[in-house]
Amino acid sequence: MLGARHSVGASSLAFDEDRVPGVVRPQRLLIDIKDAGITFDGKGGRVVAVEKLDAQIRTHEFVSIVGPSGCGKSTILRLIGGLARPTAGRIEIDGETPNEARLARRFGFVFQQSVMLPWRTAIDNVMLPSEVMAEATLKRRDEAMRLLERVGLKGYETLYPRQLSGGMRQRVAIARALSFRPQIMLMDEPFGALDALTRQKLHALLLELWEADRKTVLFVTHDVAEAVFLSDRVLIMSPRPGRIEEEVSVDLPRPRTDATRSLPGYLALVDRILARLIH
Amino acid sequence: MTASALGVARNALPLLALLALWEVVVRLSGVAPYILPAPLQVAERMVDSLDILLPHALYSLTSILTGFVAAVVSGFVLAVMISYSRILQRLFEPLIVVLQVVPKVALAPLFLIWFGHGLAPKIIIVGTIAFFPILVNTIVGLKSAESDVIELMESVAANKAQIFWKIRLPTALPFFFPALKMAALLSVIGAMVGEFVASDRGLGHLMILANVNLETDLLFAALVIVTGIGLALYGALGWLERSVLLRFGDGSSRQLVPL
Repeated sequence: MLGARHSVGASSLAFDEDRVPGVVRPQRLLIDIKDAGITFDGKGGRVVAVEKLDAQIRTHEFVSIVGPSGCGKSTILRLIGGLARPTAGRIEIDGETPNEARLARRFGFVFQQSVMLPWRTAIDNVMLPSEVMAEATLKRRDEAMRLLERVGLKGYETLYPRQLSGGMRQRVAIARALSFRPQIMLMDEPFGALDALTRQKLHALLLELWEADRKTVLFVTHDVAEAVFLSDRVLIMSPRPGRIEEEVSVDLPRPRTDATRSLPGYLALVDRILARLIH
Repeated sequence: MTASALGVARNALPLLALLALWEVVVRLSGVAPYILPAPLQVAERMVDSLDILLPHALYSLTSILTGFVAAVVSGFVLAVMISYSRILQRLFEPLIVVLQVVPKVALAPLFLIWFGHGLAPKIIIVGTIAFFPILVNTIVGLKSAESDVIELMESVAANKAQIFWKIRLPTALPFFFPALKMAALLSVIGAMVGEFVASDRGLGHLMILANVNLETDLLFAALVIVTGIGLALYGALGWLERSVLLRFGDGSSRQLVPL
């Protein structure tokens, strides 16, 4: 009843434009983190949340950060996204500071909680960034409708967040993050609060979206299997003070499907990273 | 009969039953009318003395509405300023706590000394009483926006004004409206207190007069009108609340910060 009122041109989504199947995109350095760290002044003195962080992330890369709870994984995303300032070292996004990149709207954030405005419908939540950017045109709304269709929410556009399941709200959050075509997706345990089945569905969706344009994704999770399944590279963090202990390349074939989860190479990588985290 | 008419009837039924009981008890017991007049007698007196009651009612209504609006506007504006300025917050917070505790009703004689016997002191009393629930609840409401929503807005480089209009204000509304209704009822109390203490007009003044003359039926008639004013205000604000929260609510109601 709700779904039929929007016809869709299949490949007209803007971030599809540079979609050229089979072409290997040249990669260049996009996020350059050098010796970065952040300390918080807490009640019991200074707390070093992250220190001596070095990482390079290239364009079109899907990189995950795994680590034990409280190791500062989320803090790294906030540092890169310009929501927090490093107290040591430096971070460059394509030659800009994180804050400059944030102001240039290069980041699409997806948080563990969907962070919906309860008084807005799904489509109006997706339109929030466009409104902030004074770009809430009819064309944008059209694109937002198609985005919602792409994340599997055709027919749910005018429902309110309370009428949607947790997984559906997270789909809206992904559509919202893509709606203004940011250069980089910063995802902070986006599927952490979902059940296993919903999580698998969203893995497939995320990879499908990512295959379309290979936008750079930085994905924080404590789920090692999830990180291996999705990523080109996995950065393993130590407990607090968090630093990157090891970097693992995931050379599993793409596109990845549910069959990938039973590949020996996949299982071996998961085991190896888990072992690294436990010790 | 429509569903809403049925609803009204259901709400009115206990009230009508109480009035009937009252009527019967007064008639059977033969209690003197100056002690407890029967409802029908009060109604009769109200109709007879409408020419006296109405000007007084209008006078009271003026101070109630003016004081209420002044309290809402100033309370809201100050709440916005305080929630955005750490300096103002530090400056005002202890002051607010102390002033909240001061029984505003007890300030009435003071205001009469300062501002004379006209409408001004009544408006000021009404405003003072109605001000604090608006101020306190609006501050709480404006600060109740979750930090992750604010971060989401910051991540797309939203400015302060956008965060205010799109996030903080709608988030504050479920706190604001209950405060508005409470302030309206306090406004009626404030006007009565002002008129009790010193006035030559208003329903409060009329009640004192009727009391002295043992015209208890007139006192009740005035009381009915005051109650009607309060109910009408409360009802109108309730309607406004429902209409606005239908647009901006999240289906949950907020706990009012007690005074």
